[in-house]
Amino acid sequence: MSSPSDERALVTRVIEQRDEAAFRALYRLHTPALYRLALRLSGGSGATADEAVHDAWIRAAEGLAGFEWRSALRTWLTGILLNCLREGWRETAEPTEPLDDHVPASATISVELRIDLETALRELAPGYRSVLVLHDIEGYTHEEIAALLGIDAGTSKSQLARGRRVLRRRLERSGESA
Amino acid sequence: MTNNPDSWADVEQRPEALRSIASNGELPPGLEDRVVRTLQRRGLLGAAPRSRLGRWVLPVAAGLAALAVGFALGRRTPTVQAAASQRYALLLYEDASFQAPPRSAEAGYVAEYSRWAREVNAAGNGLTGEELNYSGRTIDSAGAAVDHDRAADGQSVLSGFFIVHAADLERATAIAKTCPHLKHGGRVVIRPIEPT
Repeated sequence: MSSPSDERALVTRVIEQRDEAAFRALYRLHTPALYRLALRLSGGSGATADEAVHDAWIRAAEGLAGFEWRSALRTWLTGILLNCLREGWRETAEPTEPLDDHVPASATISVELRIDLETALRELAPGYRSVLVLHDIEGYTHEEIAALLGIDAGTSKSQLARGRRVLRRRLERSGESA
Repeated sequence: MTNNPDSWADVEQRPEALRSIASNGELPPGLEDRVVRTLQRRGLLGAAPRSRLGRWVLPVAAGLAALAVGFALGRRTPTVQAAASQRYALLLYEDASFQAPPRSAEAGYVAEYSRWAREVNAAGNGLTGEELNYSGRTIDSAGAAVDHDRAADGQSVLSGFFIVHAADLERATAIAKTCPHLKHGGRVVIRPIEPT
């Protein structure tokens, strides 16, 4: 595991010398987590995650000289990734989950299928899914999530509560149909 | 086949259950190389970065515009251009020996090239120039086309050119020898432009 000083040294080499080896080291250090996050937030779409991670790294490299280390590099990269993903959602008319707890008939799954947790997450609306994944899986605090998503911490908390309720209903429905 | 209701049904009360599915998984093959290639094309990675010439083309262009206005109003006498209409192409190459500046020194490079260009113009030698992107395409006589997005390591890259007015090749050479491109390890090829 690289120390913070190792990471800063790699970043400096990328900025000052355009060092490809240093960039690849940074890439390999952060991309597994970034890709995992992108995959979950894109509802399991490998193509979307692939493109988002690619675009995020290009933006990060272009802005690297201006990164002031006020946050961890991973947090900064995550913010860029989230922006890339959200831009993609806007382009494809992001589906929205109804704000009440009613699960519309069109969102039900086949009664023959067993719904596991990954599937249930994929079917959540992006807003709920983002907060739930960032908080319950990735371990970010509501304050950090608020900064990453451009919302306030209170909204993060309420979205998390609703997301968990919807998730539980889907899992319960799957259990009933099994 | 059923879910384990004890694990999933109370997910609201046991969000840590979700952590159990956290795993890195496989990264798509080729993504890393694709990212690196994109960054190389944009000059953000690699030994032969994007030419720094482009940064000062705008200041030179502004200077040339002012010069042109001055000529039109008769305030300046285009000495060399009137006396000798020979134009020369100065072709700027970047080889492995070219020392691209670190980002912290880029502003200095820009100022240096700009100052040189202004001096050449002030002497009446009428300088124009363009930066060339590393990417492009080569077509041979058989019609085969090969795209290239950067020079292979060790290969020479034509990164830009100037057109300058000079009385003769010796004078053009004297101008080229003062170009800061040489000081930074670049190479300048001087070619007379055939008069039309």
